[in-house]
Parts: sequence; C-alpha cells; structure tokens
Amino acid sequence: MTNLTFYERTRDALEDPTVNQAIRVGARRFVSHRASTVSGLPEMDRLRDRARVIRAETLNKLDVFLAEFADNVELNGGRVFWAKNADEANDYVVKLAEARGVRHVVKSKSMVTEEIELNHALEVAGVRVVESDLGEFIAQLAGERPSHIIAPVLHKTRGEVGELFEKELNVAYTEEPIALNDIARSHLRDIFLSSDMGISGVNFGVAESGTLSLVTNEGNGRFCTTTPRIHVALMGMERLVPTFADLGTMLPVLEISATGQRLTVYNNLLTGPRRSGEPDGPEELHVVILDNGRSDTLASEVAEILYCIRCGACLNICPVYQSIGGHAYGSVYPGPLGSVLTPTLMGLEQWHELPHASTLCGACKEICPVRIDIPSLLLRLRDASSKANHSPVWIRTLMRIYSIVARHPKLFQLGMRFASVSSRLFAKEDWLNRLPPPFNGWTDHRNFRALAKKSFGQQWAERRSTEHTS
Amino acid sequence: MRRKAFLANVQQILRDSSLPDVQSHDSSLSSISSFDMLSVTSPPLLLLLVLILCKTKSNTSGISHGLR
Repeated sequence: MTNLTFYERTRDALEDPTVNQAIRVGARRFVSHRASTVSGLPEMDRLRDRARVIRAETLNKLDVFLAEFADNVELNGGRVFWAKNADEANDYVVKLAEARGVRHVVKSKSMVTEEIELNHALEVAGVRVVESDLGEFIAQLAGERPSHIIAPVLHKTRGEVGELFEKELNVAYTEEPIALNDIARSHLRDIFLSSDMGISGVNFGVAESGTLSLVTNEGNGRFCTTTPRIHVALMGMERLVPTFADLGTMLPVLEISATGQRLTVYNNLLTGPRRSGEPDGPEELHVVILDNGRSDTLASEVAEILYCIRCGACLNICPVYQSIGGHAYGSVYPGPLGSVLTPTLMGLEQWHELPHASTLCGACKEICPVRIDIPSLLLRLRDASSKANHSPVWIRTLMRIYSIVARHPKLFQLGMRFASVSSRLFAKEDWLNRLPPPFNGWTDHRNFRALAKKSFGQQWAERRSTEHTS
Repeated sequence: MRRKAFLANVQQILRDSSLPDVQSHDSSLSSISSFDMLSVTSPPLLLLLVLILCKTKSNTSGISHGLR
C-alpha cells in the first residue's frame, strides 16, 4: 500500500486516461460476456439461489466441514497447517521451503497469497518466486500489484504489455495478444520444469473428499500443482463446499460470473499428492488453512461477505471501480467486495474510507452470484465507522449541526433561507459552477442549479392561499 | 493443538453468530433505519441533495442539464 490517502489515489487514477480507458473497456467486456451467457441459461437464477444456500449452510457448520476437510486431506496423504494469521502462514511456507532446500517457486494465481504477501516473505528468505498466471506474471514484471481479482492487469493496454516485455524480457516489441502469450509461455516453460515448489490458491475445498478445486484458463495451475515435487495450497478458511454435488453447482456459477464462460478451460480436482504408480503429481501436498481475520468477520454483522466466491463480477459492474480501477482502493481486494472485506479483515480504522467508495446503486447486489447484499454491508460499515469517529472532524461537526437543524423546523427553514441567499452569491445565471471548499469536490465535475428564492414550502403555502382566496 | 484451538474458535463464533438467514437475502437497504441512513451517508452529498430537493426551481431536467 502506498502512503497516499484513498482520495489522493482516486484523484491520480481519474487523471490517468490510459488506466481509465483500459479498466472501463475490460470491465464492460466481462459484464457483456456474462450477460450474453446468462441470457441463454434460464436456470441461472435457480443456480444462484442454490449457490447461496450452499454458502450459507457451509458457513453455518464451518467448524464441522473444516474438520472433515482436514481429516480427508490427511487421509489422502496431505498435510494440513492451521494458520491464525499471515505471519503464521508465511512462516510455515518459508520454513518448509528452507527445510526442503527449495530455491525456486512457481505460483499459480492466488489472492490469499497476495493478501498475506507470501512472495515477499519467500524472497526475503532468498527463494525466487515466479508468477505463472499471465496477468500476474505481467504485474510481477512491472512491479505492480494486481488491480482485479480475476484479471490482474486489467489496467494495462496491450501496448504497455508489449513495451514491458521488450524491456524486461529482451524481446522484440509486439502488441499482438497471441505473440505476447507465446513470449510468456516460452519464458515460463523452463521455470515450471525447474521449480522445486508450486504454490496455488484454492477455489473450493471439498469437505467430503479433501479435494482441492482449482480453475484456470491457462493451464498454469495444473503445471504448478503437478510438476514441482512439493505443492503448497493456501486456502481461506471459508472456501469450502460440503460435497462434490455442491461443487457441481458452485463451479458454473463462479465461472459464468467471473468471465462469462460456461466452463473454464482447466478445471483441476486435486486429491492428495502423487500415489504409487501414478505418473505425475507432487511428492508432498501441504494445505494451509488461513484465518487472518475471517473468524472476526464471521462474528461480525458483515459475516455475509464470507459467502463471496471471488468471481469479480461486482468489480466489473461497479461504476466506481470502472472509473478508478483497482489500485486506487489500495488493497488486494478492490471493488465493492474489497470495500467490505478489506476493512473487515484488516481493520476499519485504517480502511474506513473504503465503505464510502460506492454509490450504493445496488448493481453489485444484482450481479452477485450468491446474492450478497453488499450495499447493506457497506452501510453497516459506514455506520460503524461513524460511531467510532473515524470521519474527519469537519464531517462530524457538520453532521451534528445538521442533525440539530433537521429536528427543528424553524431552524431548518432559517437554514434554507440562509442557503438560498448564500448560494446566489456564488451563482452565475442561476447555476453554481464553483463552490468553495469543502463543497468544491462536487462542482469540480458538474454544475448545480442555484437554490430558488422561495422554498417549495413557501410556494405551496402561497398557492394554497391564492386558491382559498379565489 | 493448533487445529483444536482453530476449530474451537470457529465453533464458539458460530454459537453467537449473526449469519443472515438463507431465506432473508432480499432484505436490502430497508433493513437500515432512516436515521442510520442519515448518519452514514456522505454529509456533503446529503446536504446538497437536501438543499437541491427543497429549493431547486426545476426538476431533474435541470440536474441533467448541469452535468458537464
């Protein structure tokens, strides 16, 4: 996270036309792909209802399913580590790497590892980490964080990627997507084959079998989890489904919502490390189950956010995300989902601005595959933030004044008259083009009509009086 | 030991959990009282909205005209 405030990051994002255009085009493309697929699936609404029920039932018995999942992972020959926080998870992976003499790690895309900054922890320990998801690979080359949970470099244009490859990989410039993909592919091939450890996230863990479900479009997930001799999978503790039948509901809901595909290209089901007689697979499988604030979230009034299956649909549809992109949020989880999850996992005091990064238009709730009521959760966080006095003093003072005025009609009418007169001081031909601070934020990008000389109440009273007279 | 503590914590939380009822997902903004709405909505926006609603001469056409 940079030292800039949320508002400063937002301003910078809005002033960057390339980011703005790339995000807008990319996000809208996802939205239109999804809409096109959903239009041919009349059962989608029923699937979403069922998916919500599965998430609710899973979380309501999370302790039972976690125990069942861990038992089955161990029965399959894997090892389970229970990490209370990021430090414990990082420490476990770093020590494992040291104990097994691991020098090179190849990674599949994982938001949980971004959340705990695992790459940094490994690099500090002298282990080289290479991201293998094309978007993550580009972000890593550029020294940036992902700006979208599904499409990490949604903020970049093809030309920017071409320039980056030319500079960092010493190849001829091209902006042809297939050529760019080939460059990354040939660069990554040796890394897959020479890495000692593969690290992945988990889309869903199946409790009844201890299976890890991992979906990718590039095949890198399968490479990461089967070629190196050690596979470490990191999973947020809520990412379970009870049964394979439930997975059959959750996967299409996730995949359609994420990219608009009816089926993601690679659907991997990993059940334990390589068994004797099997031609491939890792010698060791370690599953790290991570809390890192999730149990606090489960206990909070925004627990519903744990239903989230990280499809990114709420990011794509959000007018705020479309305008400012992912980096402005300052968190690995951007968009409406991140505006709830980040303050909840990492502390409302530090992240109190994020719940305000929403117009409350409700599009995120409409599109959410598990129907999370995100606007309501955002309001609850705003409320909590307000009660904890996280807002600037001037806002709190204004609100106190307003609450007094609004409860006293005479004062309110007086205030309206004052506002009417003062607004006309700044008006030109009945329009307010420029307001003084702190209201100038509103007039920087739009005009307001100056306040009328007579309020609606006055006009109404006069009209009634005229009617009675006549 | 680590597993036991981890699961015991989750179990304890679920006992006092406020997870929403599966059937009640349609309760949206109406579940927040109007006072809460006032206290949490961005104050400058709120003030201006109130002023505009109370005093604007014309209706929404004026607002759309005002967009630059």
